[in-house]
Amino acid sequence: MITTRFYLCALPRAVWEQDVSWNDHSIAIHSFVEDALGIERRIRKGVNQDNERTRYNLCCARIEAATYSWPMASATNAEKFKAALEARRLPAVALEVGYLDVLAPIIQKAPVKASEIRLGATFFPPEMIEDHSSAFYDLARQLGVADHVDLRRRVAFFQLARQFDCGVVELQDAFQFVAAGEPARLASVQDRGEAYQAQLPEEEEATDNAGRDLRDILREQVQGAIRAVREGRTGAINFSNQPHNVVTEVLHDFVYEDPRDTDGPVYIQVVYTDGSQGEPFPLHCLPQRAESDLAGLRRSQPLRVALMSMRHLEMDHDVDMAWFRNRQVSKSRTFAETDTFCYLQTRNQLRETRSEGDLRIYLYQTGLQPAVIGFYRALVEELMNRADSSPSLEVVPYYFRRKTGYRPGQPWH
Amino acid sequence: MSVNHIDIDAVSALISSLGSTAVHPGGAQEEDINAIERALGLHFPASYREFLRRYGALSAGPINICGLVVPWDSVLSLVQTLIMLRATNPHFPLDLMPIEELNDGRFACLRCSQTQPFKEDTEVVIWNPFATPDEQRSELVSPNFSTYLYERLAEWKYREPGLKTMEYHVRRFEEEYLKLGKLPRNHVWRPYRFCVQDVVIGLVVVCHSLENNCLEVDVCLTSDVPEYEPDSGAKMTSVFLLSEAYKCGGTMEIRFSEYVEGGRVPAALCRLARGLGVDLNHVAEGRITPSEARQFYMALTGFSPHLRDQIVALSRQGRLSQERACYVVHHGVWTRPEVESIVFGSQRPDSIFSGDTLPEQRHLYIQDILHARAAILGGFLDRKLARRERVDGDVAIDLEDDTRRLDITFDPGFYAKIYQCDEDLPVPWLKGQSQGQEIVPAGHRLVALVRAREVSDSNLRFQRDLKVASELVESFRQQSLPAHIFILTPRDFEELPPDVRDRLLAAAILEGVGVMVCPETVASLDADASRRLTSSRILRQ
Repeated sequence: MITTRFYLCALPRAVWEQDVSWNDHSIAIHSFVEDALGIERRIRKGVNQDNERTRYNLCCARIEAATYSWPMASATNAEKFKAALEARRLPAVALEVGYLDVLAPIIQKAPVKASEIRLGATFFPPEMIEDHSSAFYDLARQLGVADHVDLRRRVAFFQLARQFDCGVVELQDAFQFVAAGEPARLASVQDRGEAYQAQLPEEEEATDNAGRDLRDILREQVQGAIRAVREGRTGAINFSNQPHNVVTEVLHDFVYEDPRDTDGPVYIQVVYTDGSQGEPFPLHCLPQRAESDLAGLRRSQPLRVALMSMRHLEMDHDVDMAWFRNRQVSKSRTFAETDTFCYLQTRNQLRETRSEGDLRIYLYQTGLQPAVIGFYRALVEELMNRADSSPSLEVVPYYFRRKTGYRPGQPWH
Repeated sequence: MSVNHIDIDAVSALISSLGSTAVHPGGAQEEDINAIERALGLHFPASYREFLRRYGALSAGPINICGLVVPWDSVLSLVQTLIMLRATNPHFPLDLMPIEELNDGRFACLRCSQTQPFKEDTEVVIWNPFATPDEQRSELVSPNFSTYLYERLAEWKYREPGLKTMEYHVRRFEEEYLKLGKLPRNHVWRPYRFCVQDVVIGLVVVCHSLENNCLEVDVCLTSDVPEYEPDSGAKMTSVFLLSEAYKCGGTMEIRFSEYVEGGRVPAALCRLARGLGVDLNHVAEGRITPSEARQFYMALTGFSPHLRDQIVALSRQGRLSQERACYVVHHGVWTRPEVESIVFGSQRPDSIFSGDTLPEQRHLYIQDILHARAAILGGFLDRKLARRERVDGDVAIDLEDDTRRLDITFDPGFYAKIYQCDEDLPVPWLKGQSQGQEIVPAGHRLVALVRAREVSDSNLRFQRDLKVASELVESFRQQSLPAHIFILTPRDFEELPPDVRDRLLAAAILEGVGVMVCPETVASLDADASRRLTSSRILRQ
């Protein structure tokens, strides 16, 4: 039968306040906890709820993933709890399959109280444990379910957590196939933790980039992703939080064939902060062109293009057209969908230019990362298509700088 | 006799009210009726005999009821129509007697007795001369002749006044809302027109009655266009009224005003309900009660019998609202097979269909998202399998509605979708197979274990999934049922390290299990799931 298991894990107070490293495992959840609690407050105020809820999901997923990756030990009483902490493992218990069956009716019958005590949430910092535990027990008693095996186990575990000054993270492991009547056990969630670790090695690395140049940081990340792909792992980069000029210039650094890397083109995965995943971006795939080869192309008159309409109206007198219409791009959809839309638009428009001879574009960029990624992915594919013929397409990005106005970046050809 | 059956006197009153627009040749003699019965080898039911005695035959607007006392070559001649049908259609049943040719070429026929005289209530059914004997269904339209005639005449009589009422509402609506750019509230009369291209198939005016907490209907006109599926207008209109009744938040009761066929439930809706096996017991009062509305909505939604039983059972336990399950289908949020996956696969189907659980209640929300994700992944496979991909040389041909007829069921024990088709089924998205495309022959089962797992989960659980799949292979083998078993995963499977992926695929081949990798990722499935939950939450006003 298919079922869902729940596990309660206690994390010592230090983990909720700072990044902690135990037995070569680092755990960094405190910033996500802070973020998630802030989001809960903003959701209650009713501000920008859709975005807040998306971010809340991401924060919770990161807290849960970090907890999964930590070694655990079964802790059903105070001695075991203490021993687990001394061995630098997370004290944990598994609940039976009925937890959800009892949780849902409690929330349904007492929605206000349940919301007040954050019932249904998956993390409880140490300072919330006492209040939550007693309010939860009272609520369960009022509703006549306090004797339920899972609720008793949960109340007992929260009491232990309070005694040892810990907070609690609740993990849900869904879609498990187990034989009917098979008891809950901690080992399966430990397996899952190992699988998580295997999946997210780069994400689990602690990094300190304070004071470093953004371009260097992104370059390193791209190098790491390329290395990962070459080694048969997933190489993913989150471009969402990078300035668009940095993204463009760093991609340019890697898009041409590298004489030191003879393994051919490589595709790195593009991910965004909303959890969506764009199509892979090709790197090390364009031939290097000599300046003399480009001389003919550069004699043609450039077309001045704003990346997107209605973003910076002051540039309208400098440009001939806008590549994307803002109202078509800035819709409520995932970043990956926006990326795909911009990619397809660009791909089709560039294909149409094939029959019209040389084309040089001065691209006045604006900062919507999925649009930038979508545009350049299509451009690279088009340039790959034209790789065997003499250069006939070039795009020069222009970036706005406060002091000097628009300045060109490196040309793509 | 059912409360909705109409006697011939009520029909006579209606015919009188039509005045000169209803034309009839005058009553037939008793001995002539007996002679015709003998000649045709049929015994007419009592209400039709009475009709023949009073009117002979009847013509009123587009309605032509066959009978006697008319020239032998008239369209109203019962004998001529029957002889023509028997001569041209060797499969025409001997116990049927045509009483009217409808505007789409089908015939309304009375089921007569060949042995017993004067049977009280015999039904009126539709017989389609264009259908092959295998396709022929005797579709019930009325429980007896007088009800049939009454409904036909009432429909026609109230059509013109109905159109005028519609015009009145449209004018008022334009003045008070459209011109001012205002949106109407539910309790305001709102006119709607349903069209297919430039053909109108339904007109309604509805509002939510605050006093009675039900949906009130002031206009309900439908049309049956021969080029479209029979009863398209009635189906469209009924689905709209039922969905609106749900959306407005009332009790699901629907009340028709005096402007709708004199305060009765419209005949077209009654016919449709009858055909679907739903009894409407308050037709003359112009009401569809909440329980009748639920049954009607369920029947119109077309859930499979075992899904319908499950929804009703969950509804009795208070775990699922029947009308919500229907509404999410008609509103395009979930397809019927997706609903089946959710109803049988999830512990909390109502929460998924209502989208009420918010991300802050994360435990419940994750559950909803996971089952929604799995249903959406299964939905992608449904559409992929249903779609025929035709190629002419190198050119792919895209034809509208070119889909296979699939029978899709869901096995909650294995969390698997089972497909059967009356034609060969190419298997999409197969990984790890040696050469060419695998085809599931017509009549065989294609069983897909839906495993919407992200990459870490795939790595961890694939072996277990494979074990379940091989149990399934064995189970079908023991029952001697030809079946082809597959594991369906999202594209995240491709992100497994190549050596792990190859090892898992090799293990699957050894077990005789295929692996289908849908091009969608868990992230995109979850984004879609989240969107559907959100739209379910805001659908109802």
